[in-house]
Amino acid sequence: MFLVNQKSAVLSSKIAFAEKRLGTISFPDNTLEAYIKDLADWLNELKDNVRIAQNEFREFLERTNFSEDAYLQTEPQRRLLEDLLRTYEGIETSFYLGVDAFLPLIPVWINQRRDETTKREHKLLIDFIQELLQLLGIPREMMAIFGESHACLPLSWRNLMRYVVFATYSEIENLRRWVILTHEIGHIFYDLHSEEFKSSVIPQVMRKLVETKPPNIGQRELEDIIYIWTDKWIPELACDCFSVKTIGPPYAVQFMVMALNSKPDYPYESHPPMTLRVDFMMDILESLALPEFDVAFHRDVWNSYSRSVTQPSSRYILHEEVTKAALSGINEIVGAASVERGWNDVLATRQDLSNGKVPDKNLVSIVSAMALLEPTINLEQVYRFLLERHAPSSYAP
Amino acid sequence: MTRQWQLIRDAQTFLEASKLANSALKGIHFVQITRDMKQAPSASHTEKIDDGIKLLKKVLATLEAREKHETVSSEALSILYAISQGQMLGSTSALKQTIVKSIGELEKFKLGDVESLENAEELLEIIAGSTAEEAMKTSAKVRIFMAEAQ
Repeated sequence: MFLVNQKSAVLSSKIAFAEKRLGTISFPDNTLEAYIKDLADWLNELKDNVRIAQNEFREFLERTNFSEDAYLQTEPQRRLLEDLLRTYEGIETSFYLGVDAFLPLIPVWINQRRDETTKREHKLLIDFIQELLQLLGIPREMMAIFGESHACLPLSWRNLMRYVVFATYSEIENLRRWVILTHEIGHIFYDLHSEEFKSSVIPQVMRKLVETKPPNIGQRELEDIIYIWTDKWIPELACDCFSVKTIGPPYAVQFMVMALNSKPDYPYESHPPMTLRVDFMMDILESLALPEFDVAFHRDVWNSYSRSVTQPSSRYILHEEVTKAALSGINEIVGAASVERGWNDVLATRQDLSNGKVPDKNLVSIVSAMALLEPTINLEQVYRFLLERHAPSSYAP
Repeated sequence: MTRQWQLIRDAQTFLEASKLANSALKGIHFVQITRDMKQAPSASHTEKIDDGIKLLKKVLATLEAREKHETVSSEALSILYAISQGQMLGSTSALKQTIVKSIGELEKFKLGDVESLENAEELLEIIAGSTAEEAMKTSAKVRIFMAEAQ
């Protein structure tokens, strides 16, 4: 058996294993059922891909008389073999990204939903995520699990996108921190609106990068910087903008806690400098002029750290005109701020919580209000109350 | 606030670009081998070359859109990034010329008007190879994350 055929067999067995595993899940909940159906369709497509690759290799053998004990003679034959091997690489990577990355999460999901120690907390998380999605007009069921850190896992199955949102396991009881999850939902918003970003903000940012390019920056470096801005920084800034317009000050306040580090002005390849992100959020909040939130005070708090330990970067990647084009374009696309509608509820809820009362408000408002309260206030009772409200002790999924 | 979304989306985009370039290369090489055997290539192989023409047109359109500040394709931007990592990118105008020549060559090759491809094959090899490499590099980073998450 040719090595290539062995590779096909391994891939086929991986697909068969995944199908078998999906088949063993009895009585999946509605959310999981929807994911399983989409994944099953994707597995069928992967099977087709393997079959096509096998046929191509068979045809290659017929046309070249390739055998594993001799080298190929002509250049097109050698090149074709390389192409065929690359096809298998592609299928393996597709399998990894769409199946290997997701399949082990199914037992985690089932376990967290059913296990006595996590089922109520998990229900609270799901309710929070569903409320957020409803607030944002994203009508879909979403898998969310407690994991290593806040994150959003995108799954591209055929032309369909599914997501799994992760919340940090060690912050299960610290509801203040849950507002940060809005950023992860923001990635879904970005995917849904990616065409708008590609047609307006991204061209404007590229234009400014070209216009302001210093002579010592070569084509390769320019491509790197274009890639960083368009592929990484714009999505991240869009998620921040989306979060602060959805949740408002609670997101900004908790973000500052999370983002505080020794290099607030450092432009990481994956994320723009923290100071740029905080400034962007404060500018948005300033324009919203929400009552009882002092933007200048929070700016000063951030700057007391950032300006003490570092100076704003003068790097070309952070040219003022480039960042201005990016931030104003993102702000325009993200559009209306839903926080304006719900802000009075959050303020009233904060007041109630300060008086030791948990009002009959939605979970997003309560969690937002918690994020604004003095960190010295112990919110464990509020957490227990919410747990009982959303998943009573008798709760069985 | 991890890089998981970025990493997986990057890998998916690179992978799609690599698949299209590789499909065109398979078409080219199957056709060359068939013609060497003095046989007529099958339609399914010549059609694969269209994947390469479509991809190169998309990259060309994105290079032009960049100049005119119009809508760009993220797939094409990823290709430009990937090929810039391999030192292939001299200047934008030189790349545009190469792409235009390559598209013309592929059209003629499909019809059997030319036997060899001076620019197109090399360009598609670079795109397929560099995007596949970026997809693998990126998915390797995803693996580390998923191992921690699980």
